[in-house]
Order: sequence, then C-alpha cells, then structure tokens
Amino acid sequence: MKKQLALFGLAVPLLAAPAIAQVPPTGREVMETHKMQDRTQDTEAEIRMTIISARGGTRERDIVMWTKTRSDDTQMQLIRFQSPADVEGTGFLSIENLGREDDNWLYLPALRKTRRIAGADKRDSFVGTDFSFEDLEPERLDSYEYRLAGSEIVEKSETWVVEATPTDPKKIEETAYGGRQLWIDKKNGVMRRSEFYGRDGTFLKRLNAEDVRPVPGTDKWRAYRLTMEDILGGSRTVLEISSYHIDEGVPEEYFTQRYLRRR
Amino acid sequence: MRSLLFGALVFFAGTPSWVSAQTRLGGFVEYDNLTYFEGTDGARINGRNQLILQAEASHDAGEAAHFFSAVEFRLDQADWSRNRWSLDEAYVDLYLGPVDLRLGRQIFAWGRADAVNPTDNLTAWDFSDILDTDDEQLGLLSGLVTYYSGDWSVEAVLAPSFRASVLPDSESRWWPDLPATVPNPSFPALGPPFVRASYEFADDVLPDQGFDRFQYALRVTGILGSWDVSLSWFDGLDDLPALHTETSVDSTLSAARILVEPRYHRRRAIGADFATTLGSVGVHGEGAYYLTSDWSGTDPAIDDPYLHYVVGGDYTLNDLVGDRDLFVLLEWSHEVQVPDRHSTLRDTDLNHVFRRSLLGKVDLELGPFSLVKVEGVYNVGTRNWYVQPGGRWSFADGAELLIDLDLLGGRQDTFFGDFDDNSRLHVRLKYSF
Repeated sequence: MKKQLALFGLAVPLLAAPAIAQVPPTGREVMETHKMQDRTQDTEAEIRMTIISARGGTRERDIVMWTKTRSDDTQMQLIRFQSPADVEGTGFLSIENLGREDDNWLYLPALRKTRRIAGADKRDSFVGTDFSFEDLEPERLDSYEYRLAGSEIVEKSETWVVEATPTDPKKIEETAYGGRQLWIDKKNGVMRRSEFYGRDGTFLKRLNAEDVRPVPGTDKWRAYRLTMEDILGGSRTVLEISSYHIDEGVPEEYFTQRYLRRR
Repeated sequence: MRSLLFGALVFFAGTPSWVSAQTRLGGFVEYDNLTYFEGTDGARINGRNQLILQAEASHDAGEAAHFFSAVEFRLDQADWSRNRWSLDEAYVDLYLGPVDLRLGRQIFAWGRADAVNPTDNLTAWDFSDILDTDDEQLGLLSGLVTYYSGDWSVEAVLAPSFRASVLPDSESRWWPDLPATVPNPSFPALGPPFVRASYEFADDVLPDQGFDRFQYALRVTGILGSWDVSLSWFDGLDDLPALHTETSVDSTLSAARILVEPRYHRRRAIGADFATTLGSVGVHGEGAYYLTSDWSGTDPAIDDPYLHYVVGGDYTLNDLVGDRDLFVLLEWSHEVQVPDRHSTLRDTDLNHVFRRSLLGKVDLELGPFSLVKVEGVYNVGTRNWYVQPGGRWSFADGAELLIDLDLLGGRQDTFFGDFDDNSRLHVRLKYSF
C-alpha cells in the first residue's frame, strides 16, 4: 500500500506536468525566443526584390545585405544594390548607437555623395519598395511592450500571436507604427507574419514569411521568401533570398563609409 | 559619328550588363529633347534633339584592385557643334591595407550641400548649357591617396594637369548679352560719356605647362559623435576664367573696341563642412574662404578674397498624401568679401551666381515608380530666379522618363533675368543597362 501511495505521489506531478507545460509564455518570452533565433554575430544575404505596384507593374532589384552584432548587442547593417543599372552601387549603412541617435548614411553613386539621413527618415520607403528603413531593422525588445494575444495556425505552422506596442520614447518618435501584431512560429521562433498599424490604428501593411527552412551548416531557421503588402496603396514587395551566410565572419570594416562607397 | 554611335549601341544591346563576376559592361542611353518657348533671331540654336550613349566598363581584380572607365558619345541633330565623344573617367583603384590609391581621370564631388558646393574645386563642369548640369562634370587626370583610420580619413590629391570648365559659345542661347555701350575712358576730356562697344575675344591664357598648372588638395574627414565633419585645402586654378579687358576708342570718339582676354588664375581655398541630424531634421553646411591671386585687391578683373558658405536642412513629411512622402530641402548660400574693400562680386559672373541665394527643392512621391518635384533658386539681392517644376517616371527596370520645365526671370541686368527668354520644356528618356 505504501508502495502504491508512493507511486501515486510520483504520478501526481507527472499528471500535472502537461498542465504546467500548457501555461502559455508571456509575449516577452515569445519574443525572446524569436530574438534568439534571429540573433547572429553576422549575416550576409543575397536578395532579389520584386516591387509590384497596385496596377500590376513590376520592378526588380538585386541587393546584398550584411549585418553584424557588436559586443554591446547593437547592430550594424550595410545594404548595397547590384541591379538594375540605374540604382547599381546605391548603398545604405546603418550603425545603431546606445544613448544617442543611430547613424544612417545613404550613398548615391550618381551624385558620388554620401548623405547622412535623419532617424525619422526610417519611416521612408526603402528605395521605392513597400519596406521602410525601420522594417529592415532587427527587433529591439526593450523598445516595445509585448502582449500575448493567442495562438493561430499560419501556413500549417503553429504560431504565437503577439501584440507589440512601442514604449521607448525614441522609438515612439521614430516609428510610423502605433503597434504591430506578430505571428511567431512555436517550433523555431521565426516570425511567420507581421501586421503593421498606424498611430491611429489604421491597418497599413502585412508581412508574410514563406519557405521557412534551416540555413545549411547552422542551427538557424530563416524565411527564404518575404512578401510585404501595402494594404492601403495596394502594392507589394517580394523578397526572395537566394542565400544566407551566417556567422562566417563579416569584417567590421565593411560597416564604414569607405565600404559604403566601394562598388 | 553616327556610325560610331550605332556600332556602340549594337555592341552593348547584345551584351549582358555583366560579362563575368569580375568584369561588367554597362552605361546608359538617353534621348534628350529641349523646346524653347521663345525663338531667337540670328544663328542661335533654338532646340536640342540629342542622343547620348555612355559606355562603362569595370573590372575587379580580387580585393586588391578595381578598374573603371566611362566614355560618352553625344549626337545633337539640332546643334552639330555639341557632338562629341569624351573619356569622362578612366581610373584604377588599388586597395593597399589602410590606404586606397586611385589613379587616372576621375571626378571629385566634395562637400555636403545639395545645390552648391564651395569646397568642391577640383572638378570642372560643362556649362555649355548652364541649366543642364546633370552628369556634366569633367574628369580630371589626377592621383588620389586616401588613408583610413577608424572613422577618419585623410585624402591627398595631386593633379599634374588643369581642365577648364566648358563655357557657352557665342552662338549659344546661354551666351550673355554684352553691353551695347560702355563708358568712354577719355570722358570728360574727350568725347561723350558713353560710346558704342564692339567686342573681340582673345584666346584663353593659361599658366605655362609644368608645375604652374599642378593642382593640389587635401581633405581630412571624420565623425565626431553624430556629426560628419571635414576640413579641406585646395591649391589650384580657377576652372572659370577672369575676363581681362582693354578698351580703345576710335578716332571719331564714337565707338570702343574692347579686347577680352580670358585668363585662368591660381587660387587657394580653405574649406570645412558638416552634416548632422537634429531629431528628424537633417542639417548640413559647408564653406570655403577663397584666397584669390588678387589678395591686395588691385586688379578689378580678379576677385578679391571672399568667403562662400552654404547652410541648409532637409525634412521628410511622412504619409502626406496616403502613404506618400514629401521631401523638403532648403539652403542659404552667401558670399562675403573678407576683408571688405567695398568692391563688388557680381552675380552675373558664373562664379558668383549664388552670392545671396535661397535654394530649395520639394519632392512628392506619386507612387513607387514616380514623383513630381519643384526645384528653384531665388537671388535675394538682385531679385532674379530660376524654377524647375518637373517629374520622373520609372516605367521599366532601368528605364525612366524625365520631364522638366525650366522657368527663368528677373531684371535684364541679372543672371537669370538675362536669360528669361530661355524658359523651356526639357524631356529625357533614359535607359540604364
């Protein structure tokens, strides 16, 4: 009998265990999982951007994007256009700073000039696409309050639905969005969908991530196709990533004006 | 010229924009049409019907070197004198650790202002059409050494040659109206106060070949917090000539013959520029103090020393119409003579057009592939102006249509006022490949 009681005593926590596991994480915890999945020392990605206007006209741009995370967790990003010919060589360099505004420069080869651009310009369209400069930034967890809003199936994957509201005064000033709704894959932390809302709550844009798979040679998962839809304007931009190179040692000197100008 | 242009077109049309990962061929073809609203008498050209082919080749030799060249072919059916081919750029880059070396014909674009750059003194321009300065810089044969250390760099330029800016010829609509009468130098002793003027232009006078034509420049550029800054020094020749005149009155004391001799003089400039952001506003400025070759102020044909500065800011109004943005840029350009000898910098002189000027630009996106804009300048003291409303539409990858109106006005004795009959419609169709 004692043995039976002992077994019962063991069984209680075992039976209770599934119930504990079903306690949903907080929005912040979900986003930390996403951040862990997203975070790398450095990344190089080759991307084809297809811009599709509301009338169906299309334009294609090929870019290479390099990112590097510094020891203080701030990020540097360099984007360079490779085609078409009229924008070839155009580059965008962004250096995130702690305690002061980020540094952003745009290099326009036709003018042979590098121009420092203001932080609020992050709301601008990134070279005519439906992505703004801020859409290309990594998720900054301390700048938002995250609330878990439920779970949903997206593209056959179970996801957590998280509402992100900017709380950091600098972010509130810079961002075009009053809030975002994010669908984070429960299995791997990849963002499968994101919806962007204006300061007045207007539904502005939707980002869908498809073709999610592991990056060869790494423990990272990435979407190889991203589609940003402009809900109001009717246009959309498709990013098809032909290759990711993660943690292969992008030199820090890439993130300088010297390399921004170099074709 | 036609067969050359056609041959080049056929060659590039059949060649992909890249030949290998290391070698690329590209460039652009542009059709350029100008229609003036007012005709002119005489032999002046009243339009433009032009085709441009710019052929570019580049080659990367690993991480150590890079070569680039650009050749322009220009064919203008309305004005055959504009036909030309020119080697715009041809240089090799060598990357030697912290040092970059660029040797060959190259274009410099110093300064952070948008419309006028007082610190940009190395590169000459083709001013044969004064309003059309798009891609009209003239490459300079020179060597550039850049040393990088962290956020700072030091650039040193040595140009063993000089290239003057191209000025409008006497048949051009941009040839200024010269005064029909001039003060009589013999008055009041002899003759009337004013006499009829006739002009004769001598050949350009350049310094002797050799070291007298060498040009040098140095620039230190860096980042201080959230400020981009630079200091620069230029020691070279003014790309625009000083017009020295000799007036002789004929024996009847009714007419004067004026011999105009364009001479290119050495000048030095110490300059500085900055750019930063204050919240959502971009702020920039630059200035240069010109130490001209008439430091003593005794030669009226040569500028006395002066300071030219430009300050400005830009701001983007997001989602002004739907999710379309409006970009606004304003600049103030000002020249000040230091020391003040009460002589005059005239804004009819191409070097001083922006002596006291308000410059601005507004771009409004119409969609992902199109925008409308207005650019302009207003010369405050002399009240003359130039406004360019226009638009551009990218109708296919690499292809765009640009339509501008160039509108000029002001008193006849001012720079833009003198050309107020040159208002025009400018249409360009450009394909980059």
